[in-house]
Parts: sequence; C-alpha cells; structure tokens
Amino acid sequence: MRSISTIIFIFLTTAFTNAQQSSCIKCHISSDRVPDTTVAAAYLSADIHNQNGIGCEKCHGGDPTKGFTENDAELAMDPAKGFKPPPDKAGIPEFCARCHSDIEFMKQYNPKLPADQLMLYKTSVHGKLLFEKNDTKVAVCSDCHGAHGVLPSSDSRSKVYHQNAPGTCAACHSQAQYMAGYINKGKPIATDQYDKYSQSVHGVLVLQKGDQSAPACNGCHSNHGATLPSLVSVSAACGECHATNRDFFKSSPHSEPFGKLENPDCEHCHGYHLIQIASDTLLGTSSGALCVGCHEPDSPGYAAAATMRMAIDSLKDAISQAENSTKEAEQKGAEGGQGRFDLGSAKDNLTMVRSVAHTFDPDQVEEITSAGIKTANDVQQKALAALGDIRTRQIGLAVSLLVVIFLAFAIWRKIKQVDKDTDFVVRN
Amino acid sequence: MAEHSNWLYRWLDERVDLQGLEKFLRHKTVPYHRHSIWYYVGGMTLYLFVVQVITGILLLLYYKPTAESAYESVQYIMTEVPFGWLVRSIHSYAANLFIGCVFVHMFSVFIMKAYRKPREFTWISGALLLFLAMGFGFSGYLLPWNQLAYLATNVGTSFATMVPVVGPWILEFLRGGKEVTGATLTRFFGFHVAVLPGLTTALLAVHLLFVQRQGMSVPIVIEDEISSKKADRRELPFIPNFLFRDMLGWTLALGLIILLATLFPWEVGDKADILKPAPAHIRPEWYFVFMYQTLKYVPKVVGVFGFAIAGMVWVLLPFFDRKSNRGISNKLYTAIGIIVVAYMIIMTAVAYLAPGE
Repeated sequence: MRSISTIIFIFLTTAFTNAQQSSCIKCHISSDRVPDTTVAAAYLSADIHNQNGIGCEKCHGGDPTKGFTENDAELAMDPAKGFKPPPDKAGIPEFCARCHSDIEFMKQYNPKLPADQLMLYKTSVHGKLLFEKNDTKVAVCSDCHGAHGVLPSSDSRSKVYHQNAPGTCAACHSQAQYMAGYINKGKPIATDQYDKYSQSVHGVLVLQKGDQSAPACNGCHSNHGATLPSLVSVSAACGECHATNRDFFKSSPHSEPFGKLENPDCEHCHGYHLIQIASDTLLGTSSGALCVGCHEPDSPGYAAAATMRMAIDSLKDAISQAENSTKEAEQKGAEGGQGRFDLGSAKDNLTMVRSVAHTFDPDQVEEITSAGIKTANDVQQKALAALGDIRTRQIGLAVSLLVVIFLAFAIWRKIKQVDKDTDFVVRN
Repeated sequence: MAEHSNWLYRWLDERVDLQGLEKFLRHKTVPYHRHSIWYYVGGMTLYLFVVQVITGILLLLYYKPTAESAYESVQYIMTEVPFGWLVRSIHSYAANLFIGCVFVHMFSVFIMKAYRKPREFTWISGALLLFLAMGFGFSGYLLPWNQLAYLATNVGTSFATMVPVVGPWILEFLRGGKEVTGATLTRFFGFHVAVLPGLTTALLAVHLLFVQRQGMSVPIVIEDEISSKKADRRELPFIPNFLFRDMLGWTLALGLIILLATLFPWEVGDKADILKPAPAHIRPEWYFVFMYQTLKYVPKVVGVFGFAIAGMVWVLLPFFDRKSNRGISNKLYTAIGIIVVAYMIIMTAVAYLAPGE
C-alpha cells in the first residue's frame, strides 16, 4: 500500500519535470530501496532546480536513465559517467559555485541573479573560518538555503525569505553553546542579537508586520559576504535607508569625534540590534537626553542641545494647539478641511526638523521649526476665528429664535382676536 | 375705505380691478372642522417650496456645476461666503422638510378621500408634483459632488437599465454617458435649476387653480354629520383667520430650520472620487429608502416594475375608488392607505436600524 501511494505521489508531483524519467527519483523516493526518502521528496515538492528542469545528475553526475529497470543502482551511479558522492560540508560552497558562479549558465535561468556569491562568501567571516581555519561549524550554502528543497529568497517558505532570515541566522547565533569559542573584539561573541533585534523597531517591522523595507540581519551585515560592520560600514548600512540623516550627520561637527568612539556614528546614540524608535527625548538636556552624557552644563553644546529641543517642542505644541482648536471648531460645525490640509505642511516641517537635527546646528533647526510654527499659528488663528464665528452664530440663533417666538406669539394672539369676532357657522 | 384715498391703489384699481380681487379674498372661506388641521400642510409645502426657490437662487450666485469645481464651490459657500453656510443649510433642511410635507399632504388627502369627485385633477397634478419633488431631491443631492452623492447617483441611475428596450438609452440620457461623470453633474444641474422648476411652476399653478376653483374638500364623515344635522357647516374666512394660522406655521417652520441649520450645518462630505470603493451599507436619501430596501428582497426587475405600476395606479386612484366618488365612506381604501404608510415606515426603519439586512 505504501508503495502504491509512493508511486501515485511520484506521478502527481513529477508529471512535467525531468524527474519523471529519473531512476534517481524512482529509487530514492521508495522506502523499500533507500532508508531516507526525504531528500528526494524535498526535491520533488518544491525545489527551484526541479522547477527549472535541473535533474539530480546535474549536481551529482551519473546516468538517471539507467539502473531502475535493471534493478541495479550501480548503473545509475556509475563513476565512469561522472557520478560523485555528495561533497562534505567544506566542499559545499565550491560544489554550488560550479553553476552559481558561472554567469553565462545562470543567465539562462534568471538574468538578474548575481553570480558572485562564492567570491563574497570567501570574504565573509563564515568563508574565512571555513577556508582558512577549516572550521566546519560555520554556515555554508545549504545551512541557509537547504540542499534539496531550495527555494528562491522571494518565496515566503524559504529560510532566507526576508521575514525568515533573522530566525535562520539565529539558529546558530542564538545558541550560546554552539557559538562558544568565537571571539569579537576580544570578547566572546554575543548570542542575544536575535532577542534584541526582535524587540527593535526594525525587528518588529520585519518579524511582526512582514515589512520588506525594514532591514533583517543581512540588511546591515550583508548575506553571502556576512561580516561584522566596521567603523565605516555601520553608518553606511544605516545610511542606506536613512540617507538624509546620514548626510546631515556627516556634515555635522559630531561626525569626526563620533567616528573615533567604540560604538561609532549612529550606534553611539541609537545603539544596534536593540534600536528603538528615535524620540525627541534623546535630544536636549532633560531626563533621557543623550547630549548631557558628553556636554557639561554652561557649555555651548549644552546650550545648543537645549535650544534645538525647545525649538522642536515649540513646533509640536503649536501643531497640537492648532489641531485641538481645529477639532473643536469642527465639532461645533465649522469646516476644518483647509486647516487640516495646511497643518500637514507644519507636520512635514516636524518630520524634516527631526532629520535636520542630525546637523546639530540650532540655526538650521530653528529655521525649519519657525516656518512650521508660523503655519500652525495661522491654522490656529483660523480655527479661533471659526470658533468666534460659531459664537456669533449661536448669538444670532438665539436672537432669531426670540424674534420667531415673539412673532409666533403675536400671530397666535391675533388669531385668538380675529376668531373671537368670527361666526364660523354657515347659515343658508 | 382708507385705501381708496391712496393714489396708487386707485391707479392700480383702474387697471387690474383691485376691488374685485379684494372682494374675492374677503369672501373666500375654508371649511372648518375637527380635521381641518390637514389643510395647513399644503400651505406649508408651498411655503417651503418658496424657501427653496429663494435659497436656491442665492446658492446659484456661487455654485459652479462642473466636476472640477462643484465641490470646491460648495466648500467656498460653506466657509467663505457671508451666511453661505446658513443659506445652504436652510436649502438642504427645507428640501427634506418639503419632501416630508409633500408626503404628509398626500397621505392626509388620501385618508380623507379629498381626491374624490370632482377633485380628480387636483389629485393627479399633486401626485405628479410629488414625483417632481423627488426628482428635485435626486438631482440636487448630486450637486455638491461628494462621495456619497456620487455613489447614490450611480446606484439610482442604474435602475434605468431595468426599463425594456429604451433602458440603456435612458441611462445614458440621465448620465450624459455610460458612467456618472462631470457630464452627469452638469446635466443634473440643468434638471434641478431649469427643467424641474419650470415643470413644477406650471403644474403648481394648475394644482392651485383647481384648489381655488373647487375649494377645499370636506371629509365624507363631516359631510355626513352635516347632512344628518349632527353638526353645523362651519367655515373659516381665508383672510385673515386661515392666513394667520398659515403664517403661524410658517414662522415656527422658519424657526425650526434656522435652529437646525445653525446647530447642525449641512455637511460637505468628501469630494467624489471614482476610484474609491463604496462604503458598506450605503443608502439613498431617506425618501427613496423604502424602495431601495424593497429591492433587496425581491428581484430588481420585479421591484422596479412593481413600483412603476404602483406609482401609476396611485396617480389614477380617484378613478378606481368609485365608492368615495359617490360620497360613501370607503374603509377598504383607508386600510390600503394605512398599509402603504406602514410599509414605507417599516421598510425605512429596517434600512436604518439593520443596515446589513
């Protein structure tokens, strides 16, 4: 019974692939012939190679047309026909690279697919440990991509799909026992990256919201060339997305001294792995502000921090007041659409100034906040005028209703008066 | 009389017989009995129509009937034009009260069988005025060019396709194309400010002429009481007694409209966007809701034809109710009237209270 279901499975899953004719599959899917059928099953169920008609022999050699009917597996796995046993772990990168580093070959299947993976891998921490120190604990191609169920990284089932990648890295990097013995900057390598990352602004976006634009591990560390970001590459990695912040920071007086710190550039204020949403409290001299960590009270830097924070807070207050007044005016019946539209411009100023704050130049910050405050104040004035108008309307309504009631009463009195003098009965 | 010493009076009297008109008005009376409260609803409807004409003309000074500027012009009226908010809100509230009064007027006439011989033409002209009033409502609703109006017009006009043979043509005629676009807006504007007012004024003149020529109908039950000497025939002088009562109603109605317009100015809504999906449970204006709700329960063709036939029967009703024409109380028709009113109220209530049903 099991054999029948196996045959049906083969038939259904391989109907339009080369695998249909392959004696490799015919034997390796049958538990009567091989102890482990999962390899062939993975290949058949979903493998990019199978989908592209790349059969077992393309990697393993041998002759898939022979062996099954003759009931002799040696005919298929004939060394004379190029059959080679599977490579050991250290051989896997070179094994995959036979095709994946061949640009002309890869172009046939996907012109956009890069062919530099092995080259990058050799520059990675993983590659260096493997090739230079023969450390086979490091990740090779199959550890991340799988061996026989290889899926494109765009497939949400793939281990290297954007949302799955942090978990794939964590499979090794979160295991303290497995990572024991590896050193970074003279200390044992940390194993809490995944825990921190999953609580970070990026991790929440990627892992919980499936946001493809937020970085997974490879967004900063690269994938095939996986490395620890160096002093230069940290801000380069952040700047890939936060380009304006990077440019403003590079032009700031902080750029040079921050570059010399142990946690340089962006990392110094925002940290790494456990990066939180940057709030305005980071700036200034109050509780939670980072500037006071270096700038002493009465120093120019201290004053600049206070000025910038005050400017941003003033803009936020102006926006908040204008919003509240507009809302109140709307609730009382005024049209607030234009005010809300104009307020959008003030909010743009707020977004902009939070980026410009990376120049650490109070003049530039105040220039933008002043423009935003002016817009918000204009909206506020309009909302207050509308509220005043509503007050006038209410007074007008009260007066009008008094007139109406008086008039109605007068008419009612008049009706009573004329009715008194009227004989309603018709006498013929 | 003091007026006669006025040179203007004399000048006009020599030309248009003012004394004759005065004599006519002095002698004009209205029946006065326990059901005569319903006589004032017609006058109220006429008053609200006049309010609509005046506020409509004022809105015309600023309104721009194109897809590009209609919404913005209404927004401008509501925010920038002095008292624009008041005029537009009065126009919107008075429109709804107007339609409500038309319905109340019609059903009160129906229940009192005032349509009976010899007032068949008064009833027919009144019933046609009801359709024109609904046309005013339907065309006016689109003019602010907001999202709800756009979607309601889309659904409303689509029923035209149910008409055999000429349905698609009617649809294109109403929409000015295959879809509801700026062409529809301009067209509806034309209907709302030129075609419908013209027809309504003419039909209203006919309606009032019949009312004037034939006087107001006295309910059969009152006539029976008078003829059996159980009650006197009582009449109210039109001027000043009836007119003062009318004016009291108009004054109170004005107060109500001003109150609503000031406390709850009519919304402008979101600008029409053909790419936006329709919100859930969208429904037309309240006076179309009983028909819209019915179409959810019966096949559309059956519903549309059912209402068309019912509408025609309703217009020609005086010719069916022969018993009332003979001056005999017809309880069957009273029951029909009550059932129709109950049906409309229940269907409307269901649509508002259980929108998903």
